[in-house]
Formats: sequence, structure tokens, C-alpha cells
Amino acid sequence: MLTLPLADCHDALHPKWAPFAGYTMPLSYAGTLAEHLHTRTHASLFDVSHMGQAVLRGPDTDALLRVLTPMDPATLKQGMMRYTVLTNAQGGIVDDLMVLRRETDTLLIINAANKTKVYHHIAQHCQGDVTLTLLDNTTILAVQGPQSAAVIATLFPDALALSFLTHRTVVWDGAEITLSRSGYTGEDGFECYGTDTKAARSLFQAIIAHPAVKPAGLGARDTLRLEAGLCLYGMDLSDDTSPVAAGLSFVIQKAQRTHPTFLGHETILSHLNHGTPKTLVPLIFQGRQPIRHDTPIVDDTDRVVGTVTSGAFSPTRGDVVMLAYITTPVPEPLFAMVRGQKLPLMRTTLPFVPHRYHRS
Amino acid sequence: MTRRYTKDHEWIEPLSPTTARVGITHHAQDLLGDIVFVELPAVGKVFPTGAEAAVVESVKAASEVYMPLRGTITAINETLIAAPDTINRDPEGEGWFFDITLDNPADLDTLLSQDQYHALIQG
Repeated sequence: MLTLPLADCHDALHPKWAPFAGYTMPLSYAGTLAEHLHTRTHASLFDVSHMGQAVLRGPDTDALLRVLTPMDPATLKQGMMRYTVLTNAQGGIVDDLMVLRRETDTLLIINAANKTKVYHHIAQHCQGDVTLTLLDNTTILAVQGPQSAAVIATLFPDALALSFLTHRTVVWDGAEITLSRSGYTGEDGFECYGTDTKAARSLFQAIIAHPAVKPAGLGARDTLRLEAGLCLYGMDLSDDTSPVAAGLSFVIQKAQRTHPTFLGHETILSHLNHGTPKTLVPLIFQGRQPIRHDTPIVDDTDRVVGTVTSGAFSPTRGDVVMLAYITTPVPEPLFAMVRGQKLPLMRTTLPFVPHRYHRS
Repeated sequence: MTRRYTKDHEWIEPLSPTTARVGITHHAQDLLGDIVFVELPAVGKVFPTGAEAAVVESVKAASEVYMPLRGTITAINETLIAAPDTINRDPEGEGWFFDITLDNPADLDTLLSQDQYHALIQG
């Protein structure tokens, strides 16, 4: 089991630890509910240093990205970042990731559990003058919540000029940090990507010292991202999931629809034009009984028509929210089968809780 | 009368020579984290020892509450349905789950003492 570079910083805050994607991760500090609500009302510090940072460098970077992802790299200018997916030849998702265009390279933020798979997948498709490097000693600190801008402004006054999904390089404690306005909670927030553990440690201490900030763990991160309607690889996304079925058609940019070059485009564009056999449906149960991953969904004749991939009690709403893959056309009404009980569900639209990103 | 415990983290407190109150331990609520839902048994229902009598769900997991000894449910703590967090706040007091009539009160002695339970959770 791997430990986070800043594990000692967490020890002082006495979290509950839990294994996740090969890492021992802070699960919670004051409790998942309290951390969740604090993030929605104040600001929380998440250490997501388990995630991988890979760098592409060289003039053929964009040609590679056109093969690996359905994005149009020409539209990703320096200082911008974009959410996208790595597709495979069968039209499934190798990983979902953030791509940040920096001055001298392109930074990819990849899921912890997928680091090795993604590295080999990209390396296999590297052609021409482009190099792939998986960075060492990486740290990612995320400050999320409506007060995050006030918190970050005390450390990096220039950061307030950033809008959602933009980034810039800042210097902290002698080290360069890529600071972005982004996150995975649906709130305004910032992420600090670094490769210098000493600087990350002093940044962690500076952020946590702010009176509005409390630490939050993986438990709150999961319920926050679900309320925001954001997919989690390994739960909602897999090597066999079409991005169209997952509701991620927005990642297929215009140039890739008219002149497709990305892996699996034949299958994925067919899904876009003709639909998919199943689709990710956001559902609500107006009760408190959690409906979790792998819960079967049935129609009114008790026929199984789908499966929940993410589901949880929503601390912000006070009811239960879930994402489920349902066969198309999606029948109505739908029910979740929990311990022999047939719980009635309501269809809704994402997000479950409105986003509050800072857009320019 | 002394409180007894099970290895499944229930406590059972004798209320009279033949009746007792059942809940989950402080250690159990700590393991579960924030509790958001409970499912309680019907009053009058009879359960054998070790049967699933109630369900408790936290943000992160669902867990069964087992009948510590054979008996009949005589009362349930309905306040938990609207305020399941009572179990986190006061698991061994206000956060009780149900009262039972014991078929064989002498079997209480087969359960763990407080010292034995503490040894179990620390081991």
C-alpha cells in the first residue's frame, strides 16, 4: 500500500484512513456529513495526491491528443484546461482526465487506479516528436467551496483573475506550482499541482491554517462529486463504457465529429447518432435509505432494466441520489430493489445540486 | 443488572429479570460513521438468536443489527427514524434500537462482559 507524500500532515489531523486505488487515503476527519456540508458552505482542503500527473512534451503532442481523446487540441490554448476521456479502439473509456495546456508542455491529471494502464496506453500510441513522462513526487491539493477564493487570495492574490477551468503557474516556497480554478465538487475551487513535497507541505499548512478551511476526506469527495453529477471511473465509467452512454457526449468536440481521428470513433459516433443500448440516468429516491453501487433497477413488471453505479444519501438535498445505467428506451416508472423492497424512483436531470463554478 | 455485549457490537441492557434493551456500541457507530437511515423490526415479532433484527445505514455502508438472544420485540425507538444521527451522538443511551422479552434470560450470561468486549475491540 502506498502512502501520500503529505501523510504526516494528515496524521496531525487524526483522520480515519482507508485503502483506495493502492493508497492509504484519509477517508474522513470530523465525519463525512460535516465535511460535505462544510465544503458547500465554507471551504475544505482535499489531498488528492494519489492521482497521477503525466506530461506530454514535443511538437507532435496535439497529433497524439487527436488520437487519444475526442477533444480538439487546437481549441486548448495555453492557460486553459479541459475535461476529456481517453478512448480505446472499441469505443470504451481508458480513463477520464483533465488536460492542462502549460507554457512548455501539456499536463494530464489521471486517476490513481489507472496510472499504469494509462501510461502504457499512451506510450503505445506515441508517434513522432512527443515524449510522455509520468512525474514523481507529485502532490495535488484541492481547496473547494464558496470561500475558497478568499482562502487562495491570501496566498496567491493573482489567483482571483482565474476563471473556471483556467490555470497559471505560481511560485510557493521556492517551487513552481500549477494553480487551476477547478475541482470535482461542483463548487468554486482551486487545485494546486506540484512536484516538490517540501513546498506542498508548507502550502498544506498555510491553507489549513485559514479559519474558513477544514480538512475533508475521500468520503465527502465522493458524495460531493455525485451531487454535482460527475462520474467516477471504476464506478460509472470503465473500459467498456461508451462516453455517449455515460452522458459525456460534450467531450466530443466539433472537429472530432466532422473529421474524427480518435480511437473508437466509429463506435462512439455511431452511438452519438443512433443512441446506445443503455444510458446513464440520474434518479432520486425521496427517502433516506441509501441506494448504492450495484443495486438492481426494475420496471413495474419487476423486470431488471438496469444497475446503480453510484448512489448515496445526499447531505445537501436530504434525499437519495443515484446514477444508474438503464436499457433504452428508458421505461417508466423505475424502482430500486433493496433487501426485497421495491423503492420508487424519480427521473431527474444533472446536476443533483447546482454547480457554483466561477465563470468569467 | 449489568450490560452485556456481543462480538457483533450490540449492547444488551437488562430492564427487568425477563426484558432487555438493545442497541449498537459506541465502537460500532464510530466504525460506521454518519448514520443516515435505520430500519426497525415490527413490535411483536419473534427472532432467534443471531437473526437480522434491524438495519443501520451510514453514508458509507449498510450493516445489520442482530438479535443478541432469542426473544420478542416489545418496543422500538421510533425517534431514530427521523433522527438517525442520535445513534452517532448517544449510541448507548438515547440511540437504543428496541426492547425485547427474553425467552431464556439465563442466556445473558453467555454474552460478553464489558471487559471482554473492550478486550475484543482493542485486540
